[in-house]
Amino acid sequence: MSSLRRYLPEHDLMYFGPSPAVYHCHHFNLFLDQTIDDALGFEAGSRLRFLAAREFATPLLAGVAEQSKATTPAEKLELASKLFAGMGHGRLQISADARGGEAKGSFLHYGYSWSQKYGHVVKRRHPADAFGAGFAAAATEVALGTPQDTMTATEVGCVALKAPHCTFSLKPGERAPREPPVGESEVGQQLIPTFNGLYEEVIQPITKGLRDFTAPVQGDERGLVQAFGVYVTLHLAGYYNRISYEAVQQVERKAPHSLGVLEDLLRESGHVCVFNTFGGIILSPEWEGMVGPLTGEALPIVTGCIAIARALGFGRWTVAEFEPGKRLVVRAPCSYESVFYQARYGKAARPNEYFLQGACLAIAQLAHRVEWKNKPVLNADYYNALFRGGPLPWKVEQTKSTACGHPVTEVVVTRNEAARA
Amino acid sequence: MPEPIPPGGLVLEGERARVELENSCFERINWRCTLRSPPREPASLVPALVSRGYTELKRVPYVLEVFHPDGHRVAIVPATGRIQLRVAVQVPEELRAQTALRLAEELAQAAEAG
Repeated sequence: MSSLRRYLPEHDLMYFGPSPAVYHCHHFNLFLDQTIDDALGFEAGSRLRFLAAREFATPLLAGVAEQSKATTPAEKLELASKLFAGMGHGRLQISADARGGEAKGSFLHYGYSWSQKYGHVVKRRHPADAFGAGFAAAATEVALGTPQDTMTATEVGCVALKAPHCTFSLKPGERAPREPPVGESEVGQQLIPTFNGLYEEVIQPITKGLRDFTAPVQGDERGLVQAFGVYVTLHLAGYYNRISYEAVQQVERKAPHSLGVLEDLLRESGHVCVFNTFGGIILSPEWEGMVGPLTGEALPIVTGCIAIARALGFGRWTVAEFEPGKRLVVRAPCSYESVFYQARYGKAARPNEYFLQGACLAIAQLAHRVEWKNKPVLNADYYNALFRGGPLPWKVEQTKSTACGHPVTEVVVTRNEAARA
Repeated sequence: MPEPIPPGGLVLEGERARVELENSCFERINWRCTLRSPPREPASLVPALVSRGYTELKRVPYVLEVFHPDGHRVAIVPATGRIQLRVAVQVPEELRAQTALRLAEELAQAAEAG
């Protein structure tokens, strides 16, 4: 597993096998999937999530099978199960031939973590594991050599619906339209020369330390990675990007008056990630050992968050300006969002790195509003108090994006004077 | 199913140690362990635990880790003395708090003997 993970160190992007990849936690994953379903409705949302998973799992599975010299269908399906578990997505056993078949899942990241997070308070009506479905379909196609983009998978039982296991029915279907690929070479074509920012002498060693620590991490006996108070997944960046940008495009066409709400939710996914994952890392023993006890100052949280973002494969985020209590400017030569957008859709009409925007605002909030020395518990109540308890004390604007052809990506976070009043 | 985790967290007091559920650990796996008589050198816990059947895992220098034969893990920050117990996931969730407290008491005994 660890030999499959590679970084582009100058750009702080990550690949898993041939596929652009990032780390994200279950809070983010569930929030983003729900956002897509809220925007498009469950049927269209889960269809998009399935298609994105199948599309981006295919080159991963094909590439790793070739690298591992797995040749028979059984070997390739076994490899797919190992990869899925190693990435922290749970256990998936696929039994299929060209006419279809079945996949059984246990501890699947989406369904299981949804049950853990919401199962005791929310009754869910639809299955949760479109990513697992797409992965199973891709694994079947790759293993059997059936035509790409044709296998379908329907989740017929899901632990989020109180079933004992997750079950998928696999069937051949019609070929889906082929999208332009976004792999290593396409990402590479979008990269501009990198640069450093302020506090690099602090940021770079932390990033390296986090990478060293996370390198051997893989799924436990359940196929889950439980660390820093969250379930962590090594995930396909293309999955996140395709579902986000296609949802935006569909809403722009069909319900343009709702676009602002969707964009706000995509930004909020950045709040969710930074609060839960970045916060969990900052409170961990590994952080305390590597960086030292938390001081309560804002700057170490800002530099620490930038280092975490790089270690998770989000891109070379840099601190361009930081004035405590007033202003944070983050610049980057790219993000995992911008390289995808350019490669798939071409030049963007306006800056649209939604996750980056939300994450930068959340970094400012964590740096100034969280009393780290008091060992806060990062739960839903605290999240709501920090991010949903009235107007946020910060406003965020993305002023530049390399996806628009600008020389840098730039996000500016400033005090929200209206909230202060 | 165990009782829901109260908003203020979970703390168990033992004779030689206390354990406190770590940040956001909804599965009751990670527990902050405080020994009533901590060793002067936190790192000295590692050989003391190895002599009791634990296995040292060398991953990164700034956090020492040892494995219990039953799959539990102990993480020790040598610079600050922070100890985190990570209860094996095979332990049913309703038993994880007591398991953590038992591990903490073991650690305390090892520290006193070591």
